[in-house]
Amino acid sequence: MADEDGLVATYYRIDPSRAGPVLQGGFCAYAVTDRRDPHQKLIAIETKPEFPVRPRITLARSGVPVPHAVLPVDYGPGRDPSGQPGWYAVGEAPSGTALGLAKPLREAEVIACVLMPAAAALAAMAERGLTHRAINPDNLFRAAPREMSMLGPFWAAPPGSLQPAIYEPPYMARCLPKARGEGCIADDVYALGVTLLALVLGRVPLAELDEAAVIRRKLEVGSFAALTADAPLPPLIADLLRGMLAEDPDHRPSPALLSRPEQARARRVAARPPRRAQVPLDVGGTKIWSARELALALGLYPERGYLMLKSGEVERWLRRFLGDPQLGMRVEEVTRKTETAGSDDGRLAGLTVLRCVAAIDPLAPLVWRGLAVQPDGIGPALAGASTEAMIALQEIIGADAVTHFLAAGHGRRDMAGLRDDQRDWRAWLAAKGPAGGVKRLAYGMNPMMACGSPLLGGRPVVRAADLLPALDAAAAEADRARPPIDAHVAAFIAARVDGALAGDVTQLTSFAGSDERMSVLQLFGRLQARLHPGPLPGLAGWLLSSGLASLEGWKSHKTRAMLQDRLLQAASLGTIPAMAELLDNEEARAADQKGAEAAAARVRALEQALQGITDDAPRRAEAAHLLGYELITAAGLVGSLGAIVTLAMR
Amino acid sequence: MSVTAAKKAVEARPRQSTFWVQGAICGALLAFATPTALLIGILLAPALATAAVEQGPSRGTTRAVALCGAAATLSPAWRLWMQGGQMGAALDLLSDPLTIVLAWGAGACAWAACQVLPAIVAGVWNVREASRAKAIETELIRCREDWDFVGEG
Repeated sequence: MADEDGLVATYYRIDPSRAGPVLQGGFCAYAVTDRRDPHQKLIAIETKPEFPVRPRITLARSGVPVPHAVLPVDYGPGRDPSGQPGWYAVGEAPSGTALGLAKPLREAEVIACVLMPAAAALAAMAERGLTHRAINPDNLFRAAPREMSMLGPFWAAPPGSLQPAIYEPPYMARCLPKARGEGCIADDVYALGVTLLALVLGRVPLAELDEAAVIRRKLEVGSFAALTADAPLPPLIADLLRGMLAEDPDHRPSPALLSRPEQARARRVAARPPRRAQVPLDVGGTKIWSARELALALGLYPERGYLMLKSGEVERWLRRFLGDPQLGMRVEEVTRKTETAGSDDGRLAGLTVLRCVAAIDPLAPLVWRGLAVQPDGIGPALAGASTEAMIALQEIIGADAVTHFLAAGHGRRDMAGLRDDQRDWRAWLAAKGPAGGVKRLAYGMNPMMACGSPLLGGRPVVRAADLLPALDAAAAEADRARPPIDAHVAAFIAARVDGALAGDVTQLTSFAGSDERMSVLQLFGRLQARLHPGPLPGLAGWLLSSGLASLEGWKSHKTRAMLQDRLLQAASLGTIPAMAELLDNEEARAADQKGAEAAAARVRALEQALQGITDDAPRRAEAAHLLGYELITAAGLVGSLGAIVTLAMR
Repeated sequence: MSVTAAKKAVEARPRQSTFWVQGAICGALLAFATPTALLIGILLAPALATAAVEQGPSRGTTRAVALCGAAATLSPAWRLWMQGGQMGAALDLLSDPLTIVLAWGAGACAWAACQVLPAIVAGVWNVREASRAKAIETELIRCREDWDFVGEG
């Protein structure tokens, strides 16, 4: 929950006297001071819900120091200067301003002030298993000309999501921006290479082309040839770029090697130029000349591509015109195997295209219905995805496409762990109830994604511990007739808490039934007990008003009145566990039920007695009549006997 | 079987031999003890009149009037037999207004009591039952106020 005293992430105060840096992607950044160490220069970047913060940012603060890079420090809720709540990623403040492309830089300056510090930073990050994925001239900062630059912030958005396509290798640029995945350090080397080229040229290469055309151009002639396009380059830079812009990430020099430019330029990797066909293949109106272009076109036009794969047209072109019979055979085999596996038409077509693309271009991303993603980028892509993209992403999980993609020969070792994750993803997506489905998938795959529930009234909630205080604060302006839980909240809880609590929320089928309402109350009680022991009077009152803390089912009005009093008392104290405990008392409930049964029996007996009195009225009148006569007769008899006795005694 | 049905069954039963026995006794009494029969007949005139008027099998009023009248008739009848049971003695006794007033007064009281007492008994009984019903209703209201029987069978 946002601190009321204007602090961001508990310790940081926005400093209005210092301006924050201008960042890419329209992110707002504020200069902040750490109240524990006011001399430290820091910034707080206000994150966007549709751009989940990178979950591994905390790793950047551990281990060996990373020089020449702006590192994250902390994250948490806060308020901007206008008082609006937000979720902030706090990090070191970059020195000076962004490098930009105002004028071409000289070779020596590029090497000394950009390449060397960036290579050192990347080498340290590689050692920690981190990537930057946001290297471009607008995200390189330096305090003054001819000073060493530093890599800008990289943690406030999914990896590569803010990068213009030109700075990304084709297999990354082709993906949805948020679905580019963590990538590897070689992808940062590629981005650094394009950045060096842009700084030397003083302009963005191929700026006149749109992103799709840039990707095609890179695939057609290779990245180095496409980007340099015979531009006059200093020899050292040209030699370095040849390696840094290699198509295969394994062929690019490591950051450690780049720290020694003379050695790096000497490293030559014999990469064959892409094989070009004698006759082009027409896929969706695009002329294809090479295998990687074919993979791109099949991914872009999957329906047409599937028909061509099925008819053998692609295989024949590969054999006959591209002169690669082995690749043709592999495509034919993949097509045949996928078809014999049997499936519905849509899934079959998708899997066939996916596997063939992976076979044709081992570097190609996972393609599905025209969409391209890296498997580890599916999670961020789910955040704020369009309906169409959301459907395709769900299909990717449901069809087990990642497993097929990895099995089809994708060589990325860092993605092997995703095979196991796939099982979890499918289970989350298939889970019934409000805590399952695509929302559960999105929160599960994005540990730093804020809860999107409208019940929170715009308050950012990323950690489980912040959920209850946020709901408590939102209670004042909430519609209290509705319960303080919806599918977003349920899925968020299921994703963020573990153990029995996650099981409890997963078992919820709705929030309407009596048992379900009790389960929700118990869930909130347990959440408060575990995550927020402090009082939550707003949320407790909301639970009471919305009927979740309902006395329905209790038969005794006296018990109800007593419980109502105690519930109100517990709600005013903000102790939800006490409320749950009051209502979830099996012994008291059994006694109440037993009392109700006894009372019902008593009522039935009384009603029968009352009916008997009414029904007996005629018989009673008759009996009273007879009794009256009998009394008089008895009196007469006594009188007669008395007379006899008197006469006898004379 | 309800009370009304039993009553109808009794009504439907024809008068049998007792009627002729009673007739024979009365005939014998008139023939062999005329003064006694005259005295008893006059003193029990209210009972005879009631018997003639009253309908129904139980003849409760007749029985009550007859028994009360009999209590006031026994003494004059005893005196008649002590004086020899002659017609003159019977007429002397009948000429005493106190004797007639006592016998007929007893019968009249019995008849009046038959008209009033059953109603009084019924009234007392009904008051008692109404009080019981009120207590039951109070308990019912209390039960319904204390418990929620929605969903109970």
